[in-house]
Amino acid sequence: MYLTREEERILDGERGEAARRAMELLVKLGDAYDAARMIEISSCHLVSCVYNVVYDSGLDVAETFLKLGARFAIPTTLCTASAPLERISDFGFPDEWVEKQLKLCALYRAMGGLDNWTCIPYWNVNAPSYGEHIAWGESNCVSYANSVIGARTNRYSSYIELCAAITGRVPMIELHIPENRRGTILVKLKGFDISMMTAKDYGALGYAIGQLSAGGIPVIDGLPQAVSKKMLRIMGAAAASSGSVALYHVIGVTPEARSLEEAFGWDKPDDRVEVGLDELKKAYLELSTVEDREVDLVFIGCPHYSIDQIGLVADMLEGRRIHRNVELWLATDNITYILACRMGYAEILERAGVKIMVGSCAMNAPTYTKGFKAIATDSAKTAHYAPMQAKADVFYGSLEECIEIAVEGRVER
Amino acid sequence: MSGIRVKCRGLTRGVAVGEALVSRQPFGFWGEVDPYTGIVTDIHHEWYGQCIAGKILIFPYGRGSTGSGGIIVEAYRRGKAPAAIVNLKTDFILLSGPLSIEVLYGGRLPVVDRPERDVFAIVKSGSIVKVDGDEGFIEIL
Repeated sequence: MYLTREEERILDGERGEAARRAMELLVKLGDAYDAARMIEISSCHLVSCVYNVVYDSGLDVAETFLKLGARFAIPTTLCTASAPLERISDFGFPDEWVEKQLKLCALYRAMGGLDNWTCIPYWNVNAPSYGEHIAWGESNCVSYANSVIGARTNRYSSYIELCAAITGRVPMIELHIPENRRGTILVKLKGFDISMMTAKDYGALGYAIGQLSAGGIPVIDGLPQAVSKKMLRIMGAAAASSGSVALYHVIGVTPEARSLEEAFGWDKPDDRVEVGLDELKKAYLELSTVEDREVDLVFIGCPHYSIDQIGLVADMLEGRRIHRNVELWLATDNITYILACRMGYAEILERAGVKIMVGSCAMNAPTYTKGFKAIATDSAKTAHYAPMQAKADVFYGSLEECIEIAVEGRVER
Repeated sequence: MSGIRVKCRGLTRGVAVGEALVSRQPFGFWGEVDPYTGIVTDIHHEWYGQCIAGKILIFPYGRGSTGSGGIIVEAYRRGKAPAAIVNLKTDFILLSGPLSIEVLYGGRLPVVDRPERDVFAIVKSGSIVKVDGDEGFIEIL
């Protein structure tokens, strides 16, 4: 692989041992994937700072890098932490686990990481532009940045994104190269009324698309031009969970798919699938393992809720109270939480009995230690991971259904 | 089928011998395997309940969360990592774990992909397989 003089200097250790080691890993990655050269990137989004992604080895790696003098060369955001960063004691998670996450937080702050802790960095503090090269981790972040914004990133994971943040570079491979971004599978939506689609339907749709196009780049034909970015966020997160979809195109909607021809790079699709009511029904069946009567935890905010969604929940819960048999957790990031406090939403929610998980979420935190029987969620991604991560059954519902379950407390205790 | 050697592309260094665990289903590590025990926790996967520690994992490609690399490193640290990984196509998420083990931990977890023959037809779970990441091949012993 060709290296610039500056990159060779880094590899020779002239920018310190941390940068040398980071560059060594990136060069090996580049060699494995036949990269011609490195590219400079404009931002990173890290998952290496999340305790239940890296566990104790993550503390070893971060401590070692910091001791070796690691500092981030480019703006770097930190993904959703494994413990809430406010009102920690409200959740009753094991102290040892929480302390380890807080230690990771301190280590990554010291390297220059932005102290926001979120899985929607693209919504406020780390919003790349079309065509920018970035190195991001976390599947919904990657999906959104690539597909909706048209920025260029691979699905980076620990510790490649960390090495990228330290050097400001990644090898020019896969989705950084325009030719590799063309669609491979045509996904034709058929037989349902798109205008009636709810957020819950978009989650199930994404889940089905992910399953049908695993390993490929789906091109979705049949969504309205006016589909909101919020719905794409929900759909993309679901497709990333079920089929590791790092990039999708929506004809007439996303920036690299102004036409069907452009989406496929003026080439033919490798494959075609149809998604209709049957596929949606199948997704719904797979996303719930129990009835709503079993639910003792309602979890919303996956991906993290933005301020408009928090406002909506505050409206729904004003003057109401979460039932004593049920808990309701709502996840968002530090900055959005400050906004929610200033706008009075946080007070309304807390008065109703909602526990706001600031900078964290129920799937990254050790929810399994709480012994919940069943979790209701409006997120297809959470529904996919809950049985494994929280060791609980799951009920996939709309936000409205989730709120009613929390208020009525249908479960018997 | 013993004695068969299949040329592959070596992605990380090292040589490993072990019992094969084969699936045509994609496999992600984060949320799908417990790094403390090596037991597969994904109820959707046919390996559910099985232990991957010391095994030669053969599956088409990775899937799911970008957290997989970290889980592989943690499993390695605890002696619960697979001995080697064989894919049709290895993605970054998966490779980042073994690569971090090589560069940051000074260890070895060989990964090979692009086998020149249909490995699913010739390797069954339970077969003893050698994976050579340096030379880029697998051999059924």
